Order: sequence, then C-alpha cells, then structure tokens
Amino acid sequence: MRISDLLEYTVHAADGTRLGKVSDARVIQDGPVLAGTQAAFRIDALVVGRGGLAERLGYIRGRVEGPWILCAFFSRLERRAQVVAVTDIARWDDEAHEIHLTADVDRARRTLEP
Amino acid sequence: MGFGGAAPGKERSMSASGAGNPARTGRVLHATLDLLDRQLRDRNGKLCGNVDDLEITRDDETGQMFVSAILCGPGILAYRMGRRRLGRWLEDANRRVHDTPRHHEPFERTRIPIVFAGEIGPMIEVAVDVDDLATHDMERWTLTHIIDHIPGSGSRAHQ
Repeated sequence: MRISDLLEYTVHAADGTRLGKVSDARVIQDGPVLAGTQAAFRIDALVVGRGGLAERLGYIRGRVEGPWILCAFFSRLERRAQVVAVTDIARWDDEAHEIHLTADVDRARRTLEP
Repeated sequence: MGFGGAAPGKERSMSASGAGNPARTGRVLHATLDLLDRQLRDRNGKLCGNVDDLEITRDDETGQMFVSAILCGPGILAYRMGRRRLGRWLEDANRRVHDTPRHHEPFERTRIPIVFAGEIGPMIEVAVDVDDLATHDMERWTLTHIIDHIPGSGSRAHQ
C-alpha cells in the first residue's frame, strides 16, 4: 500500500458519521530498530478532514508564526481537521476505500497535538 | 488490501550511513508535509530524485502500520497524482527496459527501504548510489542508445 492509496480513504465514526478524507499521516520514529541504525517509522495517527489549503501553504500544525492574521485564519480552518489514532481503527473496507473506527472513540481526543 | 514490502525488522541488512552510531529514534513527522516531494541525496552527495510516494506496511496481527520505503522514479508520481494506470504502465515499462541492477541481491530500483534514510530535513540523505536508482534511467537510456551513436559525441564507438 502507498501513502497515495491511504489518502484516498474516507474515515467513518462507529455510528456511520463521515469524518472526512485522510489528508496526512503522523509518523513517529519509535518502532523496532532496523539494521541497528534507526527505529522504524510507525504511523501513529491519521489526520482527517479539512485543512487542505492551509496544508498546501504550510500554515499547519502550528509551524508558522506569522503574519498573525494568516496564522489565525488558517488555524481556524485547520481546527476542522481531526486526528484519528491508528489503534482506534476497527475495520478497513478496501473495496469502498473506507476506514471505520471503534465505537469508543471520543471526538475530544482527536486533536492535532501529538 | 495489498500491503507491499517487507515488514520493518525483516528488512535486509545493509551498511547504512550512521552505522556505529546510536540508533535514530523519536522523530515525529507528518508524512505529506515532511517526507513527500523532498529532494533525495545519495551517499556521494549527488541529487537522486524526489520522494514521489511512500510505501506503507501493515502488521495484520497488531494493526500497526509502518512507513517501509521511499518510492521514486518513473511512474510513481503519475500514480500518486491519480493516474494509476499510466503510473503502473510507466513503472512496468521502465522495469523491463532497465532491468539491470548492479546489486547482487534483488533490489527494486524505484524503492528505497526506509532504513537507508539518514538525515531528514529539506533534503533527505539516502545510503544508496544514484546509479542504483531508476530516477535517471531515461537519461541513461538516451545517452546509451542515441547520444553515444552521434558522431562527435566522444563515445568509444567513434574513436
């Protein structure tokens, strides 16, 4: 599977609510050590939903500090994006390109903070 | 779902840059922001393409997913841009025309195992040679099959 395939998937909550398309994947280098040189890059979470324009312009994940008006605008836009932990995925529907989450995923948990 | 590639930990061993140093760990990245489209630089400092796509491997038992390889070369970007059929065709055609890896062991020339990646910044250093990658295959083919046959090109055939 490629990351471009993953970006085709839409994420659905357990009650069937469509949360949005996968727009990014948060990767943490804390997997098993490979060849004694570095830890594997584990996909920890998927970023789901809007924020596309902010992403393209780089005003994302709190990385750009100014100009403040753009930061404020794009931060607000990005607030619509949610983060879904990979451990919260219940089922992959590869035919329909859908990811279904487990029932106990709390919406408040889905923030962009690692 | 067809998850390609070997699972992390099952990658073949290699003499990566950084051997002898403590294992790299702890970096937090966003795949599309920090990895895709980044410039690749080989072990000799030569530019060797861009990150066109990333290969993901899922462990079916644990449900964990890992980035297992960097993909670059003919057809990969077309695939990512939604031209799936064209991308696959280009990859396949390139593999048939340029299937001459210098490695003794099997090595997908459009696939750089993630363990070969060193520094990740605006540029990503990879512990491979540019000649082992498919990035410049078209230029190489043109040089060998067209340019070298033009009188005055300086190739041995005309000396």
